[in-house]
Amino acid sequence: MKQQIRDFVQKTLIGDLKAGELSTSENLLGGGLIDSLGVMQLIAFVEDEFDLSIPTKDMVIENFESIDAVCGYIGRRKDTES
Amino acid sequence: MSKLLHQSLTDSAEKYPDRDAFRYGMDSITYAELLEKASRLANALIEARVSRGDRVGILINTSIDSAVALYGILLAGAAYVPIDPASPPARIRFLIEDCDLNVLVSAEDQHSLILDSLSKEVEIECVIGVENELPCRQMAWSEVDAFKSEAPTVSIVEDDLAYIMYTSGTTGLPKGIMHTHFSGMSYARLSRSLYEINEFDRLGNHSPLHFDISTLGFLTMPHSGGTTVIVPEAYKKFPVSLARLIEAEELSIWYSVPLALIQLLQRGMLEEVNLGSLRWVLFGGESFDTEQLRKLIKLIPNARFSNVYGPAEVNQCTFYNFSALPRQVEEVPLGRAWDETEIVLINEGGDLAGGKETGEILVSTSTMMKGYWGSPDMTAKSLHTTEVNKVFYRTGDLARRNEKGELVFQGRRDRQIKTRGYRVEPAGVELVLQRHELIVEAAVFGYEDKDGETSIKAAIVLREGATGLPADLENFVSRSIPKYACPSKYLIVNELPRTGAGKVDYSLIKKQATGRYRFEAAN
Repeated sequence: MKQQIRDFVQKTLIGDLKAGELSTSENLLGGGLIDSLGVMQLIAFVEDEFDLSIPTKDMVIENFESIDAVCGYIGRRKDTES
Repeated sequence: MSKLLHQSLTDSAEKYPDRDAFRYGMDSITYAELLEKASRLANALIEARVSRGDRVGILINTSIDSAVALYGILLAGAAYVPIDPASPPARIRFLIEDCDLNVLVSAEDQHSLILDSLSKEVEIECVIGVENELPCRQMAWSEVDAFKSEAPTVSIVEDDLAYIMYTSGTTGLPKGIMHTHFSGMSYARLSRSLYEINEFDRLGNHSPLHFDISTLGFLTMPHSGGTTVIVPEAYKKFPVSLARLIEAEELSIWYSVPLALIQLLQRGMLEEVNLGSLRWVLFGGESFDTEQLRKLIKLIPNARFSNVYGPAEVNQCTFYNFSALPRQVEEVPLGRAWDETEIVLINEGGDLAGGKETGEILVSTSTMMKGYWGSPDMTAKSLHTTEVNKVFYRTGDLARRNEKGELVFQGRRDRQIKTRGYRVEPAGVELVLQRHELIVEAAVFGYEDKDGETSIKAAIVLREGATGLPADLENFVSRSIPKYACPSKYLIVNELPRTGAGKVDYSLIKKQATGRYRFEAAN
């Protein structure tokens, strides 16, 4: 799951903005790595790829600030569903 | 009474030493601490050979360090030049050269951008705040802290330059708007008095330092002794988090472009938070769709609203304050002139517009810029001096007066586009597009969606033999102009429609754009 998200973020959202491997704990939102449009793309990607519907109340910084945070969120959602 | 912008800080540090001056996430700085840090920086700048009248760049993602940099530079007698860290290196290089920056106050995360922006021809003497190696002198914040904490004695007057803010120009090159301590202080004083801002106020600053909306947070609040809460970037991307921040920080004043408020309204779940602390909601930079605005007013019933109007050249010149928007109001007026300001409307014939006639807004005010940096020609063109030596700034904005005498916006005299509060000169973008080897001609225009948001689009004519959008188009464009000014969609046409006189017919292009043509996004 981590790798999938990392690939998406690296290839689709960041492109050549940042060279080298992106760390999963790196803050995606603060330093201009991902803009608001990128955030919408990331949310759409997570919904499609992991078959989730993300309600507005979950669209908060804590759930999307890093690849680790996104994985944590998906994990919690999957736990409550099963 | 204080006349220089940094005297606001020294005064507030004396009156309210322990009050928070700025907050950013978990960080905060009191007035006493800010004065101390800024004084150390001022002494460091002087040691780095900065003197009265010099320009010093600030290249920092807007945060508490931006405030330290701003006041440190002013205390050193110099003028600050905010640089957008999202600018392409070519634009930063231009700014460094254009206003002859020798010193930059920056941050570690800007290291590679600084490296990319410097070249053999464009050098800088000293960068403060970056430890990672650069081809010039460097001073870390820890070194700055070793300088004296007493503010240096620098003798400057209110007519001295305080800051230069760059905006897009019609030639494709940015132009620097020069503000003095007098014009900056006039703005701080007038805005403080109009909105009755005091030391208990907490302002939500949504705007980066290179954008003129930031002057309320960075200049007026220190003049009032209140607290500026700088909204970190992450919150601008998550409206639910932003709504919670407004509640948790108990903000009493909000100031942003309409887009930020529309996002809060549409995706911020405002009904779930308590926004009772907000007493003022200010918006400016572009028009606010009245339907959206009415919904917002219902969700923040305690607040008064203010439509702020004024190009960066004058900061602010009119206001329209309201608590409710009666049904018959189709468009929020720009309102009327604030204190120390005279506004006239000049019709196409060059005479004063009478009755409900539309005319160009000309402003004479104490908050007016000194001129454009290094461009006496451009300054002369935009400033009009009357027979009695009164100077008016030609805004290029059109307005008429309603039955109450309030100004109502009627569009632009030229083709300037406003998008997310930013000014974009289409002619400048066209020049960049036409430099691409596969593009013969381009016409750039604004396109308004149903929420009233404007995006930039371009119709282009390709060279013979070229099929489809050039693969490198987006990269090509973004190397020269900031992201907000880059066209989001392109329309490939065989030729640009022209009027009988042979001029490009922009209104026809816009019409075609809504019709059968298909846009393509560059990738």
